Amino acid sequence: MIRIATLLLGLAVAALAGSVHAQAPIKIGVIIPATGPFAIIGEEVKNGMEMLFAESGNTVAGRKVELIVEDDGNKAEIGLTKAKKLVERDKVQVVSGVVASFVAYALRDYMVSSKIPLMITVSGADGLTQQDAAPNIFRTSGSGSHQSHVLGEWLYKKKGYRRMIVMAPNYAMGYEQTGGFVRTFKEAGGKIVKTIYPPLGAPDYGPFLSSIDTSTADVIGVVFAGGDAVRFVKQYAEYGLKGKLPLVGSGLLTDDLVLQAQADAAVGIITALNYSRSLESPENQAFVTRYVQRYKRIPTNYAEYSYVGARVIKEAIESVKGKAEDSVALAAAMKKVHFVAPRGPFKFDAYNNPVNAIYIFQVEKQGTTYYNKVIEHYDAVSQFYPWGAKAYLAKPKYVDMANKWVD
Amino acid sequence: MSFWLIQTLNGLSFGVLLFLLAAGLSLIFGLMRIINLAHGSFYLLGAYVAIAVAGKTGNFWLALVAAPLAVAVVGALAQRSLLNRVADNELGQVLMTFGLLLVISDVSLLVWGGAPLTLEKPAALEGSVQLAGAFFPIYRLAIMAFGALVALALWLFIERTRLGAVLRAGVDDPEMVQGIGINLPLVLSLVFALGALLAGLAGALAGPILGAAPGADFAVVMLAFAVVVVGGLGSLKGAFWGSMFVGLVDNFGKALVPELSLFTIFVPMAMVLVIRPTGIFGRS
Repeated sequence: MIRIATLLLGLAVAALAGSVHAQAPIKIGVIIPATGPFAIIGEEVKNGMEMLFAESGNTVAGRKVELIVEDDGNKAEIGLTKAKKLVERDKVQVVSGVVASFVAYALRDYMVSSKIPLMITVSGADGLTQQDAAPNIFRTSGSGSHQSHVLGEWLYKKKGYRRMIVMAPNYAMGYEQTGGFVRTFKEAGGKIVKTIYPPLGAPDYGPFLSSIDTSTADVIGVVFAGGDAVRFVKQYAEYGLKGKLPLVGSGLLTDDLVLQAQADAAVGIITALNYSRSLESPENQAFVTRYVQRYKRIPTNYAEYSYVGARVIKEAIESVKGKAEDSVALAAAMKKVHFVAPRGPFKFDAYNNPVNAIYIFQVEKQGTTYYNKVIEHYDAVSQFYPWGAKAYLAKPKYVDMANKWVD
Repeated sequence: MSFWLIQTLNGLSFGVLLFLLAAGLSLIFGLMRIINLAHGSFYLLGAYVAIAVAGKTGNFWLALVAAPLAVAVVGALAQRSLLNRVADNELGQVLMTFGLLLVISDVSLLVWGGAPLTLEKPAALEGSVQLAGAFFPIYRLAIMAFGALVALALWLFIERTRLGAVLRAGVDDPEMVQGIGINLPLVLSLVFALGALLAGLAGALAGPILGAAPGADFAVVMLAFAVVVVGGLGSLKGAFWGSMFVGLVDNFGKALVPELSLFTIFVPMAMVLVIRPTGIFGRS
């Protein structure tokens, strides 16, 4: 008798568990640096993700969505531990976020073997959607060199520049983002006269800047991000180089995170990127308005990247009718998602990197605020522009080319 | 010609900032025998407070006075309420300063956010001057002049005043100093506050050049450690010449061989350690 009762109880518990499972929330892990120098980017990532799901009442395909935010402390090993915790203990259906490239690389193999989709919304390390691409690894920001390819060509053809000095921090981000425009600039016929790679976070650019001989070049192409970008742009003006040698660069140089702090020193700088809050499309205006309402500040590109990443996840969950536990089907659905994002039309290429417009911006001042004005745009640019995937992947990697550009 | 002139000025102006940092670090070590790991946090706090004050009042000079004082108060409070509790335990004190570093950096993140901020220069120091055909920022010339004044004032204070004599005596023989009726714990608090004040001053002065952002505390304090290793811990003279040396070597290293720029600071440091483990002006 007791046995039968136990059996019945067991059955009831199992049935109950089954029904709970059907209504269990979909869990999405968000790995961000919440402390350290990239904390502000981490916050933007979290905001973008939160905002998108909040707009649909935190419910997708009839199931509640729950974000589980983890701090990677900007360290690779902590990031990996947090990813394992999210996948194995919290049983999340998607892992997203990831800012630093070393964290992204540390997660890669584990995420590939877990089959759980990894939606990278910031890290630009080229390899993750090139040589090391995988069916369950996605990126909504773009690979490091992706943004830069159109710029080098444009500088040569439209601005008539022929000789360039290159300056960037001495690690992968710097090499990839400058490498992109250097390669197309050289292939168009331009020459690189000098490359300078200061250490990451160099407190003072004075010595590097005052060793530049402006008579040898007609443009300087750089990339610096965050606090480095603010110091670099201000010091460039202080050392009398602004106005003497045009300053151009990858979009992070004057993105919306740093532009107001750079102020007048940034006016006139030309950059290339896939997003700025100043884009005039109705999709973007609506996004900016809602973001400002919700967070009382203007969104940066990092918020847009994560908002777009969240939307890809949401639409994929809808197209698998809420069955987010089937990781392979979910990843396949994510790959097919396409829509008009705040940045413009968005879809993935065969390597799960975005295909989107790249804008050439120039910094202007309007009243007391500074903004990136669109002066040119290239539609539907893939990371392999203009060569195509096969020809591009046959070329040496940018990190290996960094010290070989000078003619 | 202009290249060498500008690079030398660069190195000296950076050296002055390093001196303000290293002098505080060195003074604290001299008297308390601990490495203050939170010294970079005091620097960053100085920059943040200066930016906040300048933002509210629009007055750079007020910010330059208020920030070091505010940081000195924080330093004094930290010393009296935390470090004092583990006064006889050097390792405990160092760990305490490490805890302080973490707390200050997270509180700054909470208060000022993570976006990089800069301090606006006063209009009078805006712009550049032309020297031998090259541009040099006026603000950096002002830093050099100001730093020289501070160095002189510090030297006069330590060598020529009664309190300075007590400090020197405290470094040499703390027990004897207490034996003749001087309140050494009070002197320790004063020195800790003075060290914090100098670091805060460095932060405020560097605000328009280096700005304030999370992580700046580490970047700068590393260089200050290099300075005190080269110059010798606990000696003001050592901090001064060490700063000039590191400022210049760092600068010419970056300008001439940018690929080796970290190497050019830490290799001379390692060589000094091998040849004179106490630093050039340090006493064993």
